[in-house]
Amino acid sequence: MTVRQDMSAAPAAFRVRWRGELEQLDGMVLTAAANPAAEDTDDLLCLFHDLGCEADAAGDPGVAGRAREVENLLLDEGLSAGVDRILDATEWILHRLTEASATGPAAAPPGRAGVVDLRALEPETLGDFLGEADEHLSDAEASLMALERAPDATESLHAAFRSFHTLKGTAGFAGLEPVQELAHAAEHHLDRARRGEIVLAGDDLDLALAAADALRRLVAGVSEGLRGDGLLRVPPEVPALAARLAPPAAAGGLVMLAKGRERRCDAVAPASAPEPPPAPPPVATARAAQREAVRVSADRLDLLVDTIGELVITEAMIRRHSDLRGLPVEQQRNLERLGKLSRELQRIGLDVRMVPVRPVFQKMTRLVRDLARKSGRDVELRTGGEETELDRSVVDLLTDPLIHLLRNAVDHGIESDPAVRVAAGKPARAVIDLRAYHEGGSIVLEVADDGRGLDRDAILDKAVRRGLLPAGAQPADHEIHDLIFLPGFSTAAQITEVSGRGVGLDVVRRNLEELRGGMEIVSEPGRGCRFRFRLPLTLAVIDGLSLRTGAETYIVPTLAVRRIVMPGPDDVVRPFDAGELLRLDGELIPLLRLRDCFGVAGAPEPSRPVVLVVEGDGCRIGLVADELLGQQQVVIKGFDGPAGGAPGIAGGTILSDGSVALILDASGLVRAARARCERARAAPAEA
Amino acid sequence: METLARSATLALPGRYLGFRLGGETYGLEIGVVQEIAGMLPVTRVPGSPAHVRGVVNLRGRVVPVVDLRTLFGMEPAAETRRTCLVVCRVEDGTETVVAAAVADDVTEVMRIDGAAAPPATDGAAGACVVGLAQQGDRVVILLDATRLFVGAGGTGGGA
Repeated sequence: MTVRQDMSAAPAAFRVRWRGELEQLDGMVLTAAANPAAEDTDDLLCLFHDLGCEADAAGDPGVAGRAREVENLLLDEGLSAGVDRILDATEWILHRLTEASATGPAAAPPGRAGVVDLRALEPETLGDFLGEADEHLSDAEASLMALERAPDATESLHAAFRSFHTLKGTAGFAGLEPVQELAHAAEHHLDRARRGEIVLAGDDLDLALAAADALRRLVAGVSEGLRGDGLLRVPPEVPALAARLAPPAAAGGLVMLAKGRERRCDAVAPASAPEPPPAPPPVATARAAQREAVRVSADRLDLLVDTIGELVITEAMIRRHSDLRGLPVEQQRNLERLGKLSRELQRIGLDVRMVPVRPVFQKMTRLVRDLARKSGRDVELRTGGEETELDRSVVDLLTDPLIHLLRNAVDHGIESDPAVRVAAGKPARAVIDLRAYHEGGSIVLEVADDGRGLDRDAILDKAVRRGLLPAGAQPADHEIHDLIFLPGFSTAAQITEVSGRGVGLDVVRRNLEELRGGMEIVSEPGRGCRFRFRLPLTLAVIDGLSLRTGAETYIVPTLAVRRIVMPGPDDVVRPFDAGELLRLDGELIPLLRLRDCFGVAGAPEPSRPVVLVVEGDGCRIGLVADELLGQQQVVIKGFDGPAGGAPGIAGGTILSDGSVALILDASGLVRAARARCERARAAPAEA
Repeated sequence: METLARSATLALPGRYLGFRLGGETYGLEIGVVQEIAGMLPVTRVPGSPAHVRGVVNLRGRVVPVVDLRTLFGMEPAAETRRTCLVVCRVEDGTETVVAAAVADDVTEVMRIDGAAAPPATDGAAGACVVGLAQQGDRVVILLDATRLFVGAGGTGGGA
């Protein structure tokens, strides 16, 4: 509560904060006026109400008066009628705030108001707070999302309440008053729901989610402050949000306006509201204990894993050395133990880097909800495979492509009119499926919507108009799909706030290429569109089969291998210009000879080479190698620079003899084979 | 113009690591050189540019190796006891690339006070040369590690 009172004593802080707020207001007013929904008016009402109160408190009756004018305007005439006057007033206030801070004492840098000096707090408790806060917030958000799906689920309500409550506790313990206050306000808000005063749906749910967001920003502010100048700057919207979450007893209402100052204080410490019953403490404590975690910088972790890798290799080289043959049995046994331990270390080291995709998915649930509301569509996001683990670095690069795809699905994929959906025999509420699973040595992420599917004709039309294709061209589906990944390519008739600018899918593709991933699109007109992207487990351990071709060793991810066969000469057919095909159980599988496509030198291929049927990019091919050496776990080590990006190669790994073997990328090989095949077919046609 | 622009970026006086290839002495700015390692077994990377000899295991890290002889169109040489890898660390935007070049022999660290612009040459090799410096009675060919190791060594190859 001190923070808010400080605010009133520091007009500079007041001005800075409201200038920030008002500068974004124009857009908000215009959107709201164009699409009048009750909640937008309410938001504005709250905003101007707060502004009026704070201006009073900051000793600026002029601003307070104009703010109140707007407030009354909103109340009496509604938003659409008063847009121009509201904008005028906003401009006036903005001008005044700018003017005041340019002159007068207000120009002084913001004082202590809205700022917490983290250096004065105990670093250890702060660390504990940071370690826990994210999880509590994620839990709270997950519970709130569950509530949205099932508003009667009291269990979720209690869980959300507990999360905010625990967060309040740890924040208080760490001395972070603004966090504590906001968490308290959120807790209060949820308590009202528990007591049945409000139903957590619609605006009230939005408000609770906004609290979680703001708390997240505060938490981020704390860790930034700790890394930087040691100060936590409380974002301007926080006090206002706290006031909305835990307003004073409703009775006073707007009549209390004149007593702005007192009201502000009320709002901060909702003393007038009954103190919510504390959540069962044993649960909270138990959870905290269970979640004991240490924060380690990613660099140190990488260093640890790399060093363990070196240890394992050095150990293997020593153990295989011929000088050790004559060692006494006891030493032999110790050496073996050493080997076991170092392998165990390697496994642990790699596990440490793996994180489940759950947090990303949770973020997406929230994103889809917000997008759907913004675009007025009824969409549900279903997630699956949240426990699928990915390397941390991959997870980081995943977020952007997912956001783009989901935006696309909501804005373009889903029909804007539910009636169209119903007419097509689909439920009015659209479903977007987001799931993760392992397949073929990689991780697959799928975003599938049940909307209208890609509009082949519109894409084709656009491509022809942009001169990308000749008129009358009839490209194959996958060529059509390639088009939508071009920068600036959008078939959206209208540019909306959400998407349609033609940036987006090209970003998806770029990020995926960075991850050496691949993408497939399956679109069914009228039934929906499915994006599948496939990510390699960069830096992760994979099970691999080692192959020998000539004098070279290659590793194929075991999960990509469907079958291993040693075909006789009769099983291989060579139809004209289609390359070699393997006949396998009535299927014809194109063959790719590693010796040929990689230009391997050495003795000719044995009479009965081994064929690994691998699957990638939705297709199967047979890889022909001289010999299968065995199966082993390998650590993928990416390399870049001058040797990076060779097609069909996912990276390298270090074998137990210390040499490097290349890991093959099944999807890349399939694409290479397909391209070769298509070239072969296209050549005679063009000639 | 290209030559001028190139000469402007390079020829900062400073310390260079000298190494020999055939009869010529080359220099890499000492700041980018991470270490000099003995020659290691190289694994070929199919599909990479011709001047990329492959990758090696440098203490657990997979590091690409550039063959300057191929890049500069020289005859390949047999490995000797003195053949070594000059391992460099260069920044590529946000990423750090560690890569190595094969040298016949490392000579010394030289102080270079100024360098002449290289003759305008086309092609990959020329792009990597940033200057020529007179050092005693020798001419040292100064190389730009970033152009050499980031991307495909100026060939535009690789994908």
